[in-house]
Amino acid sequence: MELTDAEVADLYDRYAGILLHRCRSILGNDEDAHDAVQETFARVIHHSESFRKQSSPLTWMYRISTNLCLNQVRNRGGRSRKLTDRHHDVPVPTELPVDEGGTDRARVLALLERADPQTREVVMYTYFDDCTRQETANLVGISVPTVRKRLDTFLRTARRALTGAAAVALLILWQGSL
Amino acid sequence: MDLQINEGDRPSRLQLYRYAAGELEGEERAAVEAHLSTDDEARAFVDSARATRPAPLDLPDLRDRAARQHHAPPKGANRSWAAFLGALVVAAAALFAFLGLPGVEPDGHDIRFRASDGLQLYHLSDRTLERYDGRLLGEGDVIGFKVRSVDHDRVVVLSVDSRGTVSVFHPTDGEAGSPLTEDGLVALPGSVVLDDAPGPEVFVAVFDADVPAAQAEARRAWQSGGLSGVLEWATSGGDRAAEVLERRP
Repeated sequence: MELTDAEVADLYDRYAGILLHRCRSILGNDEDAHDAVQETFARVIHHSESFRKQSSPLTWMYRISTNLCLNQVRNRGGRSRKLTDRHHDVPVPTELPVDEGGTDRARVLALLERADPQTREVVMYTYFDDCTRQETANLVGISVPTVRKRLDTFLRTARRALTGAAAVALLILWQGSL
Repeated sequence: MDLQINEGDRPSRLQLYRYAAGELEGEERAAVEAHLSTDDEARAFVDSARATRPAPLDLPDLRDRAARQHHAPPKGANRSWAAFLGALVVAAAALFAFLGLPGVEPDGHDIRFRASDGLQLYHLSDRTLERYDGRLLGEGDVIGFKVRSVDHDRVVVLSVDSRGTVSVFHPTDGEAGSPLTEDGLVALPGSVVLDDAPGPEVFVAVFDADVPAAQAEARRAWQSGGLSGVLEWATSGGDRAAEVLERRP
């Protein structure tokens, strides 16, 4: 049965501010964060049946909103990722550049963009949200060993692709820019 | 945040949020409160989350968005006539699909490729960019843009795909539109490697606008009528131009 207007209003009163806080911390601005919150609640309404069965409404909405935010981050990254070439300088390079200097942040973003959606979620919950491996596993719906594997793979890829300076940029990215 | 993984010796952000929302009880709640009594940063985080005020609830917008999740009319009382019309439209759309007319939305708007003068798409073919002619393109294909500038100073080029995702291509950074230093047909630097977004995709040039305003207008247009709404918005003003890119299924 679909959530009634009163039920939606109660959920909004209780959770919308917290979700806005969460989305803003990822997206960095109110407009995009508000849009992510609205979209999260739209999905709550759309999935009313399964939502009613959740023991923790926030946990369910947390994951939905995280994925929406990560998609937004990916789309933003696309602005720089997609514009990789001049009209007459084709083909477009497919490998990450390995030069030192100012492209470190772009490379870190590119790494995250290139990670598969599940790995992005695992990295996000573990390093950004400070979740334990068990919490991350519960959120994503995978086992703890799979969480370990995803993290190891991501970090190995990062170490191979990034110079020392870029590795520092990775830390900076997680600390403030994402 | 650092790269030390939480081994369970402190509450995660999710736990702090759940505490702030009043979802925790018993031992879980006590454990978080014990931690907050010794960690000012965590305490400030919880206070900040609790103090965050969202925009006022807009139920019609939420219901509308929810309805679009499955492309069906919103549920409500006395919808039998609407349901009949909806079924009719779906049947018509199915017929169009059967007849091989891609890009026709159920509301009857034609969102197939149409040539535009103000914004022109080019696609990579044999190492040169050729004028886009409406062929189906997909992930990995490369496109570029030209815009027709007439007394315009700046341009934002963005796209809206069939999921409503708004992507900005020009400017490549910052919020001000890309500068246009001359009139006439201007090639914008750079090319775009298409991702796997579902099509059709409407590309829009918004002249003399900044990025946030152009994005906001595009989102409003999408909310008002999907891709047809975007196309209507993009082609209804002298300071905008649009071209539709058709995607491989």
